[in-house]
Amino acid sequence: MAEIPPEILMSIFEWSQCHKDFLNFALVCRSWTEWAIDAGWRMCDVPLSEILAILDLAKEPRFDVNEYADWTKFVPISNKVTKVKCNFALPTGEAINLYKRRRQHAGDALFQNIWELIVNTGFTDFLTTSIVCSPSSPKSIRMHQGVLG
Amino acid sequence: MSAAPQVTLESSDGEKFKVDKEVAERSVLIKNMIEDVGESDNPIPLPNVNASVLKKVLEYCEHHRGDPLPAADADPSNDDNRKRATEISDWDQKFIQVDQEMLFEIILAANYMDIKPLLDVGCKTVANMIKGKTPEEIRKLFNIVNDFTPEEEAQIKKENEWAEDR
Repeated sequence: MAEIPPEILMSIFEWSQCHKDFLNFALVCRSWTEWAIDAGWRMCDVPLSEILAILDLAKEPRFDVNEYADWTKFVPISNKVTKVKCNFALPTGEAINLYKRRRQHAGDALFQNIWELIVNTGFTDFLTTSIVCSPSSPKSIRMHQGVLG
Repeated sequence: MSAAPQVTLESSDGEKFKVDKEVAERSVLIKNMIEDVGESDNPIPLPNVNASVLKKVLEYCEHHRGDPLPAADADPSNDDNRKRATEISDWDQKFIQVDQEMLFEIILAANYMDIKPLLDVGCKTVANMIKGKTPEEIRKLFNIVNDFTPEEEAQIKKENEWAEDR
């Protein structure tokens, strides 16, 4: 079991829905850690929307970045994120802000490694907000707009 | 009525299995091999799968021979698919009630032979085994040695404390 290839570990982890599970998987042994955290972030729709809210990008932010002192705890993990898909109304200007904002918090920036941002400008509700983690390092940021399938 | 076309598969330990082409082609690997080399009487070698595992895999393919091929977008990151995580059909559940070693052999074979529905059944089964368990319980279940230093363990917990109460 410990020698199971990473792509199969990922396929197993991805059937979980509970975030506590991913943390438990990450704590089993070294060869599981990276994959469990990646799988967890790939699945974590809600925390991402909260993070976006923290950055007051969502329509009705539940937190103000200044009031929500705990946001820095997301920093180490958010930097694993390379791709964000937002399926809620996010005006172009605000989407660009997400990219800019990651540079404003020098040192503690969230999402420092985002290179692709896919934004839907049609809906107002959180339907599918997802993120993709990838170990490959980004060269440039790409932005798409349109309705996500 | 002419007999259905058949192919011969050869396991890593040299055992030959003659099966209907339709059954063997549940494996995308074999389907592509047959397309590439054309039909032939030569056995198709599967150097990564031994006879006992291949027998089991073919039992699955035989039962599911008429199933529609899975959609390309049926991945677990799709919400609907994930919600079905615990749903494994009765036949599949019985089929996958094997010892742990065989379970992982089947998963590896399904991955190698590219049989996505079987890979999913295997992975879901393992996922259901480890869901809601503590790291120590999971280690015990699979005989995994804890290779973290206490400091590393604390670090991972710290970096991921957001996940604790979700």
